[in-house]
Amino acid sequence: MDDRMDEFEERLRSLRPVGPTPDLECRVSAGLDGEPAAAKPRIGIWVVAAGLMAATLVLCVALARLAGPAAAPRPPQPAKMLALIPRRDFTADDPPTRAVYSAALMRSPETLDALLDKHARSLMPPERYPSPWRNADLQ
Amino acid sequence: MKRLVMICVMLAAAAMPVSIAAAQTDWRGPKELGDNAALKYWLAFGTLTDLPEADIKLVRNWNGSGPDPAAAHVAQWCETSLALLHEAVKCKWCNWGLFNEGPGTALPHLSKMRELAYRACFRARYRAATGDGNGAVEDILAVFALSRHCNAEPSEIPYLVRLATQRIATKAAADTLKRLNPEQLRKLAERLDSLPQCCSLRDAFLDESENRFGWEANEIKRGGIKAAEEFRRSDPREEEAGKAHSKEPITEEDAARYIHDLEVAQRFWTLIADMSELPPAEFAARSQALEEKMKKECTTLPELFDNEVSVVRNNGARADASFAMLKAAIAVVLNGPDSLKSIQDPFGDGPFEYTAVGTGFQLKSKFVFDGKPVELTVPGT
Repeated sequence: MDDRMDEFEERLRSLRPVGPTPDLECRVSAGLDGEPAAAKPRIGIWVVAAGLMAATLVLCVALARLAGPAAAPRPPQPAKMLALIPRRDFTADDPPTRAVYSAALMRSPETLDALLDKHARSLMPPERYPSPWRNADLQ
Repeated sequence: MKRLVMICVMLAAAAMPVSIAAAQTDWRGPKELGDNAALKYWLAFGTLTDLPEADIKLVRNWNGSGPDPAAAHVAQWCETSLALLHEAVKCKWCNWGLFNEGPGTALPHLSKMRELAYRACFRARYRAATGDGNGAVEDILAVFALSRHCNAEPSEIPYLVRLATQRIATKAAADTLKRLNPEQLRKLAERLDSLPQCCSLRDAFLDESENRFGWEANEIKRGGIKAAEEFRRSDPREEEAGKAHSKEPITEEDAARYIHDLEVAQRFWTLIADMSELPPAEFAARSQALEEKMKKECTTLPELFDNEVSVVRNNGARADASFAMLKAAIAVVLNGPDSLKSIQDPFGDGPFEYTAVGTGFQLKSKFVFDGKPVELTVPGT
């Protein structure tokens, strides 16, 4: 061993264990007396946990209520002042409203039928319709 | 103390799912909402897919004369939406929950109801043609129920769509009668007598009075000259007559005239509602006299009374005649033409007129629509 190691070993030898803190001594003595020394801080943890659970519960109920019908966005409203009088210039692009259908009816029930037909088609999803038998016939 | 806290926490944890479930019940609404046919119809609409033009024609015009590969393909394609239609008609009630905006009230469901009716009746013909009489009867009855659900809202347009879909169903039923066995025919006849309730013609006229004319009059009363300006802008006749005129500022006097005329119209439709149960001829005479009288009271909206109520009433009478003839036709197929002797034409003094056509037949009512007696043809097989 060299001089540096000797010095190091000398310093290690001089080290002594640190004595127990007064708090530790107190808890150990309380433990030896049979009382739950750590009861106080643990109650705190449980209380915090219970509080968190309660807060979560309240939050869940609040969120559920917020997601309910009362919070639902109001549908876009059509213009209020649509033609009351028979309109002669409606098209299939006009919205399917009472005024537009009434106008079609004023022309004739057949016009109303035709407009309903157009609306039915324009409101349906885009064409994704396979016709295999027909394609086969064409080939 | 530790135990007490643990019990509290466990109780809170146990109560959490219950509380969430309670909250969910609240935002999901009452369970009875599931019995609302309108919700099921919207699911059916969502699965309606546009068809190529050739297949649209097939759906509208195919007479079910026999097995057809094109018909089989289209019928298969409609299966999902028609399964949902059958779910809808099982529901106890139907509420479309429309958002009332007077003349601007959106009625997006009506065109789709009509399309669903066409497809169900097409499949009924297909099923009858391929030997599935029970399936055909179910499809036809579903469309009759659908027609009533169209008219769950009380106004003229839903009423007319009810009549149109009922006409589609009546024609499909007549086309398939000869392919059904006696048991299926009896089932059809019985269930035609127990269709869902719906609004009446009287309800339709009263609704026009209140929610079309009354609504508009109230809007102008509330909004004053500004609302009347908006109302006039929406009248294309003003633009046709001369745009310069329609740009002239509206006066208090103009607004008051609009309100007056709208209230006359409101009164007219209320009086008409009370006449709605009259026989068509009497209704026509009395409503025409009332129209003339009301026109004289109106200075700005005389076209409001142009024959609209007669058109609606006559369409209703035609549907009533056709429905009565369908029931009579079922009796004829079951028991022969002699059974007609005990069935009265609701628009005549005696039974429907019977004419044999090949292996089928035709019934004719005394009710005249567009200059022709209303008829129902039952083709032979």
